[in-house]
Amino acid sequence: MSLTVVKGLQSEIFVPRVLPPVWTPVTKPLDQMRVALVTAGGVHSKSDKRFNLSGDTSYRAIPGDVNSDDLMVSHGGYDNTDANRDINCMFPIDRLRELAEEGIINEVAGTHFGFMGGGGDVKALSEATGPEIAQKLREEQVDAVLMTAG
Amino acid sequence: MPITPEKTRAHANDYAITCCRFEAGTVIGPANLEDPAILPDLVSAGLLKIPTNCLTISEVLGAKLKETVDGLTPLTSEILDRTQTTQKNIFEKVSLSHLIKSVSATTAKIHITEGKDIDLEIPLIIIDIVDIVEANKSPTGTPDAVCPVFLEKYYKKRVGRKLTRKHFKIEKVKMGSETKVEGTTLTLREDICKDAINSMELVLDTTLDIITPDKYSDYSNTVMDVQPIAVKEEGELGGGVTRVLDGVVVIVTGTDELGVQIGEFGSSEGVMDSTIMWGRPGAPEKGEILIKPNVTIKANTQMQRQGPLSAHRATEVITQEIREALKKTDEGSIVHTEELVHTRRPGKKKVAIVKEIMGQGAMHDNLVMPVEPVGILGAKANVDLGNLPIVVSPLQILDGCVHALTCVGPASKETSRHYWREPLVLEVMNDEELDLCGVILVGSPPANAEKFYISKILGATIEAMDLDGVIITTEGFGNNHIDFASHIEQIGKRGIPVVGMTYSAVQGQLVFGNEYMDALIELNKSSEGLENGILANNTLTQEDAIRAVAMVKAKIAGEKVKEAERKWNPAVKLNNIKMIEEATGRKL
Repeated sequence: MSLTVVKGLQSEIFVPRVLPPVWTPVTKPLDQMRVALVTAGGVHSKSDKRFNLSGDTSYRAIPGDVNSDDLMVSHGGYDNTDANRDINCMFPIDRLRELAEEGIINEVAGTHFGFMGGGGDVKALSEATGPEIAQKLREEQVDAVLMTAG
Repeated sequence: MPITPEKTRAHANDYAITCCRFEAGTVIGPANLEDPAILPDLVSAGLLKIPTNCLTISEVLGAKLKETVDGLTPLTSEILDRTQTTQKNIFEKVSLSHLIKSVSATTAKIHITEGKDIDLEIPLIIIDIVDIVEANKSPTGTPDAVCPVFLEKYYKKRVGRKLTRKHFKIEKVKMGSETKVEGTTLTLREDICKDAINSMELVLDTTLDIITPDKYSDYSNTVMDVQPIAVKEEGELGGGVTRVLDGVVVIVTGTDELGVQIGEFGSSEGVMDSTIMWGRPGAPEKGEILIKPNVTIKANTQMQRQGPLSAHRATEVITQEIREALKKTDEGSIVHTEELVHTRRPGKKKVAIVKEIMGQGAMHDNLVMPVEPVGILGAKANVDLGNLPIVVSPLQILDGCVHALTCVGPASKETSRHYWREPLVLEVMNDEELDLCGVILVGSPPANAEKFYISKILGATIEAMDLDGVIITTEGFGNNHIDFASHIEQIGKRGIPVVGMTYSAVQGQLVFGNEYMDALIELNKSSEGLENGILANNTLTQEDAIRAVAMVKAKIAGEKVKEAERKWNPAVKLNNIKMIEEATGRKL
């Protein structure tokens, strides 16, 4: 079979074969937990600065008592129509409050976080942005986090 | 995760590490061994230390554990009883070509001079007929003397499709009372923009700039698309005759009424000279005249489906009028006629190209199969087609069956013009050693569950095609890398050699993958490895296509492709280029 074969070629892109994520052990039942929302979906208050659509390593703090109408999305990676009509489909803050009222969770956390990532600096995201958000959640004694992504 | 019995041969010389806890007395088999592919990750995470006396997989198979060991234990002689290990020649390949004595139209006679307990049951259909012919060359060295029957059937090329392109050169564009093409002048109707504005509810304004080369340093709003101006003279997309204007292209640009650029992931607004990678397949060429509508749409609509689509439709009003004029232009103005031919080559290695394209709606979308080349009328949005795999002929791609709304980052997006001049399709279609059977378009939806639903259907499509190899490309990066990885897995796990092509480098680095992604071509061309906002900078060029073809041929031939370095290193690509140039004598 005549086929021109070049020997010694090397694959040009590294492929991580990640190990499974490390889950934190649960130490109390859900109805005793303070829960926060952390979204990569580019959610922020309308009064807040928009995210840079071509890669952004910053994050926004969203107060737990925010009016969901005051929230918006700036994210270049997905069609924002539905999220702008009802922010709860990406950032279910109203639903979370309902769960607290029903006693399914203990309470809604005082501060929630939104970031965008969107192809931003991977090093900065994993060494600065992520740990900073985690630290703030710790300071507020948040027990569990619900993450959404876009 | 333990390795499978099938992979044991491939990992014969890799370190043997247990995957779980096993009791003393266990006889070591593939199910006890950790997948060597993840050992480097375990070592760098500090979870595993491999001693120098650690044995390899071929050395431990069949050995018995002398003591109970935990998971992730390196296997060494001290803890194994190796008196009963399997025979050394378990990994030796058995080749049959020296046994084949003669060949006729229906049988291959096999003669074995000396052997023991050999059972051969070989349906002739699976022996590569061409190998038999090669093995039985006549003394003069030509296979022709041996098997005319085979040659008739297997070497006969078959012309699949033909597309004639008639080129009309434009050297001047002006405004006038009607739209027409006369000689080398394109005239546009003075009030054409009014029709563009009235075409769509969301369009508030459209202005038209004619950018000649002396105006390349002007400012422009973000480029949403680059389109050749072409019309069908005869037949449908992918065949018959197409007329195209040379020396001029349409550039779709726009903002919303508040001045926000119509771009979803970065944008390429700025001085055109420095925001466009001139000469890329999807970009304009230096020297071309740019017909540049600037469309203004209602505020806050650029991130919803109707917004960007309206800008494209408004532009289409202008382009369609030019098409109609071109159709009536005198044949005397033709400067050059070319024939694009898709030849089928049965007996050669059969390959398909998969193009993963956007299908998320809004601007991350493409319109498929219009009536006119890169037109809108008659086309359907990929998101409405459910992003399911669509098989088209290579000539349909080159004749403009995709109208790109796409706005992933400007540097990696494939514009309409990119498909018109797709380097990979051209390279594979014209390669005498390959039989390109078709191009499969598959869209990338935003939601995870849908991605895998579509990927499995792509797998079934591939399976039905009996392919020897596949090259899969994708535009953009990030979200669509999930599908990209899954598609490669679907193809690879069916035993088909597959090569992937994408922009990755630094900003688009893969975050997750699988074992079948072992042959990838990097499309990055930015010195820092970034999405730099320069239109088409990181898109697929002929140089990338040549490397992909070389890599897929190597895999088909069973040649190992070396593992990638852990961090992006532009030297790897340069090295590959060097090896291809040396082996083929072709300058890249």
